[in-house]
Amino acid sequence: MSIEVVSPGLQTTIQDNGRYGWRHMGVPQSGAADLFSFGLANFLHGQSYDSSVLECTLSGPRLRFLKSMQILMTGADMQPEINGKQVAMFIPCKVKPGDELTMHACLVGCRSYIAFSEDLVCDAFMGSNSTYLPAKLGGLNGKALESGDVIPTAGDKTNQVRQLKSVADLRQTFSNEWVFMAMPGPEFDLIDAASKTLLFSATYTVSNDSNRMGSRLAGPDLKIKKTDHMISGPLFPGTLQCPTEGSPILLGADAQTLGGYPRLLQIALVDRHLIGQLRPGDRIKFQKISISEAYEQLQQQALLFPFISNI
Amino acid sequence: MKKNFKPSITQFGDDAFLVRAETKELQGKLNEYILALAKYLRRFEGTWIDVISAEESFAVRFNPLEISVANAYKQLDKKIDAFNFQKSNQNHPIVNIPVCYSDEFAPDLQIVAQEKSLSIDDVVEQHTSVTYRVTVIGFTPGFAYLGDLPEALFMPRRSVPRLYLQPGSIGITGHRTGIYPLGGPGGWQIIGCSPMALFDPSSENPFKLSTGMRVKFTAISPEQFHQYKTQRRQ
Repeated sequence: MSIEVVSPGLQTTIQDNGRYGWRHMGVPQSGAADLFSFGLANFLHGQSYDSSVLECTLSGPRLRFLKSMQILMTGADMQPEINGKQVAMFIPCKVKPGDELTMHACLVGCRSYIAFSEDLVCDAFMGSNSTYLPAKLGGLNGKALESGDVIPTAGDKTNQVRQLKSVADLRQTFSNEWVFMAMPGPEFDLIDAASKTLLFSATYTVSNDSNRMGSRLAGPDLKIKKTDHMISGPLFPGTLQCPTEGSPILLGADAQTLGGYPRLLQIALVDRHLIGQLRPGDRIKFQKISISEAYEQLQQQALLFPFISNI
Repeated sequence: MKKNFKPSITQFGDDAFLVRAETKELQGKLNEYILALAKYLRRFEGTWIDVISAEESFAVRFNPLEISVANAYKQLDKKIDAFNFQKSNQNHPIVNIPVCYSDEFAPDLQIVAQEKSLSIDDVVEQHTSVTYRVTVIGFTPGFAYLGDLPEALFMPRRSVPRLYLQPGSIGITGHRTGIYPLGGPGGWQIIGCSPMALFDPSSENPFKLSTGMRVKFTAISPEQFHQYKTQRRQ
């Protein structure tokens, strides 16, 4: 018994690096919606790369600690406070029994991560602690945190804290205007030439109707060739699929494994984690990138942030 | 089987390949071939993070920081060549699934009947007349695609997906019917709902259905539906 939820925030769930190897049974990846911020939290905190963290959405929780431990926050800046005193993101903080952490609402980005020096004891499913809300599995009883919940923790693992030179730059990558690198998806040729140009030049707006499964985007209509019955095909986080009449959906961590709407784009791995930071009202553009350019950029990212090769 | 065909391998983003086989030689066996090849590739853990089969294609995902795109392609190509496809003669048992086709569970039943110039009873009759085969599992945990639907019921996917369907909803699209085990969004035409749990994460085997299994639907009344649900909770 060691972390008490005083108030849960908008949607706070336990997440890790995700559930792999079961996609063929329809089990989505889940895990942190922004795997980069998640990996960074555990890396800076000296924890193993797949340690479970709390993922906070738009407006964070208020937690009371019943044990001494060390915590570290990354992702969207929710102006964390301990006992009413502001503390920095990206830097470890010591807490003792009775201390209260308050995470406020973020104005830029969508999700913050809280890493702990103790393991969160929760329900594993298929080898992962990640909460997948639609099937009520993983995490704390398969649900988002609620007031009064107590998260048991075990095994202090306070390790040497690491420092990254590039943290300062990292904060600037969050914005309300995004450009994502993307490659044409398997059904890209179902849209006409004008729509292809449009897809790589228009600005889309993230709608309110967005969650961990996907973000619905509002923008100019694309002309999609009608096919009689498109047979369902595999999907991943980062696939942009588009119903024939309707707005495109950019798939996130909890994305369905198969779908029958045309897959127009795939977001490059180097930018894919940013999908988890899209908030309603944000504006987004897609920039075409080749496979080899995408690989080069990913390698550069891995040089600066070596932990990404694990996630 | 003779190896005079070869599936196509195309890039799917920077960390996956899509494998498709449309060769005439595989007619009627395409789905079986895809499922068997995907299952075969799943045995080689390490390279592939996930091997996701659809009905007529599958995708493999890799970590480009661990294996280069070129090497991943070579490995995949080699394994596909080495795969020896044999049609299985396994006879799967039939799973009976109760379905309530009443209005409150079937928001699209009226539309399907109208579109197909059938009575509601005819639609139910057609839907329960066939023994289906599970052609693939996917979308959400345990969602089973079942084929073939009687041709009289072929309908396109809804042009705009619904935001919420209740758990157990029975949908149809094209030549497929399927059961949504969880509540959530979906784009198929909904003609009924089953009270049976098709995915139960607390169970030792969480998945009630797997590929190759045979399924038959039985129509039940709303009273029977609620009775079944009450029994499940006990």
